[in-house]
Amino acid sequence: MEKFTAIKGIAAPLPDSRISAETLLPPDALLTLRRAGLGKFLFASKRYGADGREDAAFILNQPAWRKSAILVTGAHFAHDAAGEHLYWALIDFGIRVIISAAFDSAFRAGCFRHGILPLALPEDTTANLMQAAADKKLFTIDLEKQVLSVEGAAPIAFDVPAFERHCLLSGLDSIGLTLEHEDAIADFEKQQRKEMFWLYA
Amino acid sequence: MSDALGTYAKIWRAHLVHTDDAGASLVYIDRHILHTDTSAQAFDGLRLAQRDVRRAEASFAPHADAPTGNPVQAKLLDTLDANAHEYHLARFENDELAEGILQPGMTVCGQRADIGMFGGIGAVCFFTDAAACEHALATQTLHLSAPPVMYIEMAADMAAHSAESLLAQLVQQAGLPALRTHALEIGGTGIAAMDIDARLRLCALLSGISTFGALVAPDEKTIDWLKGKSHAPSGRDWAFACEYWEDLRADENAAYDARITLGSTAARSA
Repeated sequence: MEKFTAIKGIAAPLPDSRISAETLLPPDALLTLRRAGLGKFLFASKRYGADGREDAAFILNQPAWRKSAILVTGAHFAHDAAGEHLYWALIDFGIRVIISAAFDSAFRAGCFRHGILPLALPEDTTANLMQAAADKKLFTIDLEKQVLSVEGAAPIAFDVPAFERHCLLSGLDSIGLTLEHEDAIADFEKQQRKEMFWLYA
Repeated sequence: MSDALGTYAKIWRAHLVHTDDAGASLVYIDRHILHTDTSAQAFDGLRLAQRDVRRAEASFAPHADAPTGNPVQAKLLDTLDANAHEYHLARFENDELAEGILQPGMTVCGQRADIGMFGGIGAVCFFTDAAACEHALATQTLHLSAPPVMYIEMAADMAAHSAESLLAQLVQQAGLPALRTHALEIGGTGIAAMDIDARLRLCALLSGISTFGALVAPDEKTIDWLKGKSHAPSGRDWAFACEYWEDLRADENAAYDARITLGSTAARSA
């Protein structure tokens, strides 16, 4: 998992609330065997027309927002997300921060697990940020200091639980976290090999 | 406070690598049975993160079966075959899991339908999605919280009932939510009288319901069933393994989070 450093760029505004997992990722994408490359499926139903060509009007197809690593979204984004594919697609597309007034707990936890920062901010703040994103203002998210600065506005402090913050800053996914206990695993194996040798025959 | 443990708790405790302050544990996995559906993404994840398989000899990939005619399934099989070669995994034919690859007292992870039945010989089974599969491949552990355990005492008159009938009675008595959220440990004279095939069938059925599967402590029947199987411990190892298996019997007065009795108490005392 890539370490989460300061993220800087233009944020993409997606004002709809309750954008569903199916809108975000078509069922076909779930059949792919590789997770690298899943980004091309993200928002497929909006990004591409029936002929498979890009719809130039969709926000993530417009030059200013094509490479946005930050989304400002309506409440309950991906509220029905299940499985891992959606997170892989978001990461592969390059999304690292999602700002919203409300997240559903499963999606929020999934974001942290995959190295995406879900930033829940008050409703009026989110509304202002939505406008700032539409106005192509520069966003900077400093997770170390827990501050979001937007060009031309006062900095906004936020609070991420210490454990999740540690994982993001160190680039630790769940496997990375477990491997912090690699010595304990090795000790266990040594002991088990002694006591239950037939398991190692 | 007694330290009397049930079988599930004994196996769990024997596989604890680490427990954090919040009570979440790293549980060591003795055998990982890979499945075509979930493993492709898991290997892809390993590759992306440049990680290796921790114990290839304990990670078993099924041999590709004869062509299925289903192109998606065929591609999944080919992918698993290629991954098995690349990572030097252990291989098995489908009927070999019952030839002693899986044994009592082991922690096993994999797909519900492949492994759930082996609770019937006393293996603790954990059911894994792609993310958990990748975690097990890279670390040979799963990150879990100990589930509550329900003890199901099966009276003697239950031995002749079919697995389906037993399931129906369990649902009626305990309710689906309780069956779903507990690991199920089955004991009593009824299960003792059942042969291993019947126990395997019952556990297969129950693992379709319980998130944590079902378990029967190994006994003499289990040991007889395993003896001489091609992957069972042999020679000097056999006696030591039997000793460990016999120790897995639930202690008298073992504490459980829930308890129910199936069948008549009259029949039990008869």
